[in-house]
Amino acid sequence: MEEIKREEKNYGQFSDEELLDLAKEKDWEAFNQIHLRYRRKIMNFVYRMIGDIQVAEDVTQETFIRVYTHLDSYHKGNFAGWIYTIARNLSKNELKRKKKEREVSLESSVSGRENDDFSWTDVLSNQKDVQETDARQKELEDRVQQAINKLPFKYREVLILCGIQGLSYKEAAKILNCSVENVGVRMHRAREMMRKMFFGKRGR
Amino acid sequence: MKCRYSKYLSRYMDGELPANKMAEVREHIQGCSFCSQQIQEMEKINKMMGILKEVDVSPSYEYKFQMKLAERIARKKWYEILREKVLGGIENVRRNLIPQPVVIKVALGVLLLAGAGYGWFYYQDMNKLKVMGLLGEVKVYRQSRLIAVREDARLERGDRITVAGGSFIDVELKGKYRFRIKGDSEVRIEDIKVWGKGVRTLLNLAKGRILVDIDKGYQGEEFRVKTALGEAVAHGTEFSVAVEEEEKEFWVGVLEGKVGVSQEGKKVMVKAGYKIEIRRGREEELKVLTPEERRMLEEIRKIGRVMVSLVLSREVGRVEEFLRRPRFYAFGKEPEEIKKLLSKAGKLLNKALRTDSEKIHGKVIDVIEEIIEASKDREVEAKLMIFVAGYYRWLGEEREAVEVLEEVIGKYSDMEEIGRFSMCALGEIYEEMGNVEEARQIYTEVIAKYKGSLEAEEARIKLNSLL
Repeated sequence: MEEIKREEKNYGQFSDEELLDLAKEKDWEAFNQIHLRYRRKIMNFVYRMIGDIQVAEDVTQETFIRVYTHLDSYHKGNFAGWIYTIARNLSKNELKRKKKEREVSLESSVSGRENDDFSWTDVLSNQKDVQETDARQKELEDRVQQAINKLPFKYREVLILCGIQGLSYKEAAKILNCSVENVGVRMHRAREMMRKMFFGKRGR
Repeated sequence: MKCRYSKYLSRYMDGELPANKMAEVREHIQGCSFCSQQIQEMEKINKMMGILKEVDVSPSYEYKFQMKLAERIARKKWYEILREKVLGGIENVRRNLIPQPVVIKVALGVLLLAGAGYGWFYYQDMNKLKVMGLLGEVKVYRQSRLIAVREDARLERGDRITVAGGSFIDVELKGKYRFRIKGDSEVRIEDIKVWGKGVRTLLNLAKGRILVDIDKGYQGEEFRVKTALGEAVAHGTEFSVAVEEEEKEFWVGVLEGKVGVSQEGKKVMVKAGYKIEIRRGREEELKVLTPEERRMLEEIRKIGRVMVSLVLSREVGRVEEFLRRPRFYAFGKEPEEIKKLLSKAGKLLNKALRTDSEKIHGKVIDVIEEIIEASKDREVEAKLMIFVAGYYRWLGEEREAVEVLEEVIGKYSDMEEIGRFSMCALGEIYEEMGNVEEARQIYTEVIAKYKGSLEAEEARIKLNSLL
């Protein structure tokens, strides 16, 4: 048993690239390690992209299945970029499938027109409320998610990566395969769109 | 009115501007009402995004992932074999193997899920130790590294196999022998040597139980199972043996043929129908097998034979999950008639899912019922019936589903897991049909009768949601 524990610990110390090399040689534990390392990130990315937790889990699993079955075609360098590309493409397909069901409109507001008892100012000034009721938390999350759902794909992904997952512009640029400046521009537009949805057109 | 600085605000907030620009923007904001309002609102947006909780995968994620991956790999394999067939290669393989037991794998479950992917697999390697099938949690360590173990996987000298309670793994050396490592066991393959027609095998049983089935014509060769207390050696004759070490006891029972048992230099021959128990510091005794022990040994005859398992997780809620997507998995050596029927069922099911024709769905069920009739194994029968019930429910024919489940409960509930699973399923179908009272009754019964089981917990949750 001792021996095994030591080995398991070693896997944790391997870099992504080392693990991928082992996984290519059908080392299951190495693949597992990669899976564990990335699945939460991918799951959350996909969930925020799609907004449906069950579908997100399926897409996450599909992402790792593709990683496993296409390991041979992976070339050293940018694993995060590779896996996020797979997840992005799968999410895109999923959204395309669902597109007909929903009208995408940037004009409509989600600032709580239909529920007058609900105000963002309240929420933000009193964070305790958030913890007090799960139902309220859920409602808030739904509203933010709805707003994200309304963003065009390329703004949505950058907002999720930098605004939610806390990546630097440089890291996001690597994943999105664009320049750091471009990330900055997209981020700015994404925020601007969110701002308009919640606070109207003031200031334009 | 728009300020020329507004394009920097987002990057400023993320700290993604060069240091001098950061300072410049900071200073500007203090004097610009437009920008300071924009920043405030953007900060609110940031706070909102902070509300979004990080989610984690569901508890059944890993299980489902493994299933999906296994299915995908199996499907890929099937395509590869199809390609070979197109090239004509497979025909030769088939001809060579026909007189010998052919290993067939029919993954009907895959069909229900993917609507495609069905095939046979022929083993070509004659001299390799291969996994015939496994159920539950089995781990194989090679040089203390965990390796993937699936059907068809090769085992090697030095591999250490651990089998969790309730699980097992069947291993075969084609044309020579097969063995099953039972639950709560740990085995190391100390030696496996194949030369020409000869084979030498040595297994080290650290704990647990192994059932061994050696083919006829295995002469002048050696199959040994070593434990801390002694060694069982089979040579020269057809035989079956079970070895058990429990509480420092070494137990060998023989169903057919004979086995040499050696301990501290002494050797005793154990003949069919006998057993030997060796405890540390005591004289060994040769005794006749009790009927219970004989029944336990009968399992040897099932090794690698047709094995049907419902595709289930080991978590609360699995009955509901199964009813939503009923799947089963069959492997092993089938008698000819079942082999044909399984193949027929597979093809029909494929067609049924493609066309969604009621008539063909009905035919699938007919064929599976034929298999149930032809089968001589009660467990296979019961599991296939549960599948049929799930299929009916999937088709929206709840009445038929209820009928089948009631039959399973009546006939097979001596098998505990079958009993509680089908009762819980019956409750859930009653609930769907709106027979709340009947559902409540059966849930209560499951909870009382199968305390502490997965189904008792599922029934408890269902019952609570009814009240």
